[in-house]
Amino acid sequence: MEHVRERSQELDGRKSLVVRNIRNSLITIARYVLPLVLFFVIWQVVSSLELISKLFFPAPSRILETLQKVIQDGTLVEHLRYSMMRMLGGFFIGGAIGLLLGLSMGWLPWLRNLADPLVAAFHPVPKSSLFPLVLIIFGLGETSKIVMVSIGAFFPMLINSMAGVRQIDPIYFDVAANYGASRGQIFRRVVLPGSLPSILSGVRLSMNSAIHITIVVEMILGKLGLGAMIWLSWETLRTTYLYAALITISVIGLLLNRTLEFVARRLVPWNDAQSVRS
Amino acid sequence: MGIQVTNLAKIFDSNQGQVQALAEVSFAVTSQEFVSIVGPSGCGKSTLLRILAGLIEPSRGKFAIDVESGNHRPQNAMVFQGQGLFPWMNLLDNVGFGMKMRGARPAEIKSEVMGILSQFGLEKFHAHFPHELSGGMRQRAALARAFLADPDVLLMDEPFGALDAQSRLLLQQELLRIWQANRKTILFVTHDIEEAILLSDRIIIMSGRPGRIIEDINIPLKRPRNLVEPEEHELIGELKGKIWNMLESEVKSSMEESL
Repeated sequence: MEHVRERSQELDGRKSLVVRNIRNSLITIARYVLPLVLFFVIWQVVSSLELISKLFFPAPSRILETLQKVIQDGTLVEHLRYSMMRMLGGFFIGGAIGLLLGLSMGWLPWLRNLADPLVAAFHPVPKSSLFPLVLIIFGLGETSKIVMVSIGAFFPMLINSMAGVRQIDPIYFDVAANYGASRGQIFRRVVLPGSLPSILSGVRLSMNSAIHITIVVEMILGKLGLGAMIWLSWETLRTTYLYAALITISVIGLLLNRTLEFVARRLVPWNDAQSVRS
Repeated sequence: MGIQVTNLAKIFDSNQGQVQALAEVSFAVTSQEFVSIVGPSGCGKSTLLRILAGLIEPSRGKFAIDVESGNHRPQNAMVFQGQGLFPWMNLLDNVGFGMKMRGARPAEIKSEVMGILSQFGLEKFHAHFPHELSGGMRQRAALARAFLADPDVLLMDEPFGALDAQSRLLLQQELLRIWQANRKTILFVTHDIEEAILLSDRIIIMSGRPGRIIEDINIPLKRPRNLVEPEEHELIGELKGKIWNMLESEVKSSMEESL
């Protein structure tokens, strides 16, 4: 009889824990959503009362109608598909090259001495200003867009992974050498995990840079992609389409950033104190 | 399994020119002996250990660590000042690091590591990461890692320097207990004179930079030793006074130099 009661108390405890967890996440969501709702409600009212220009700031209800329309007729998905392809393609290509080069430069002084002046010279150049040159070299097709996004993703990844290796306390290299680790073992057991926190913030910066460059190159060139959708809306003065595209980009950016944050916390359990949030 | 050091010197190149850290140092440590090195900060104690550990090359001179023939044990293992536990590995992986580097199988590593962790009272924490442990526990894990490697020579660079007085006493006791059961040659760098007296068979006293050996003193205390209530406290007091007399002027001049 006694153990039955204990068991039911334990169940009660677990249930209240679940209830509390649900309540906490509801509160978190509400803290994010309420200000946004408030913002849109005020916008809706002000716009309906025609206190602000309906052309520049169409009422949220009209933007929603447009969103619904472009979702249903499939145009939004088509734009989104092209943007995501360029963004993720460039992110993976540029990010991977940046990661490999950055880790190597952080670890090998001779390579760092060789490549650092080049990086220092190219890094401050706004990446979008390279688009004409890239167009001349790679043509008007898809390739030059992906090359541009790769360049955008490359630099933050390179800088962060290099810094990540360089800020590893030298004592860890000493310990590894003292216990007879080979070069390959030092790379896997010290260089890689030691720089992981910095690499992960590089991944986020790279991703945001990839989103940025994707939109820029699509605005300049092409009929498809969220950037093109924005530019087309401006040319035809269909502002509700413009807002619909902006909202879509914002949602995509938010989702990607949250996913990366979640992955980072899973991968770097020892870095609780200095979490990867930026 | 002793150590033989002959005319070892180290000169570092720095932006301000060359700095001689270590000047022509010679000494010998016999097998299973516990020898401490004391000296003012900057006297090249750590440099000496790093040379013996094979982490840096000496500028002049040579050293030899006799290795028992026909075994695969490492020649030396170093216990570092800041523990040097990898923050990204739990205790099991940290302590088993040396075995893993030598290609041992995971099951074998696990059973050996759990054995040594229980000797240090850490078996419950094998899945914890270093940041989840106290300073004393981390230092204990660093000792466990070095003992598990089963080297001919243990090189310890102020291993207890960062600990509070109580954890320090606890770890000194544990070190002696485990050393008593598993005799190794130990070279122990410290700037705590009393610690050196209580732990070692011999103390090497070094001068300020560039480090030379001023004196080499035998510590004739009985073993096993009681660190809390040592019987021979008169002798200990005498030795402490003697060593401090030799060190005082060196410490003063190294303090002035660092101003």
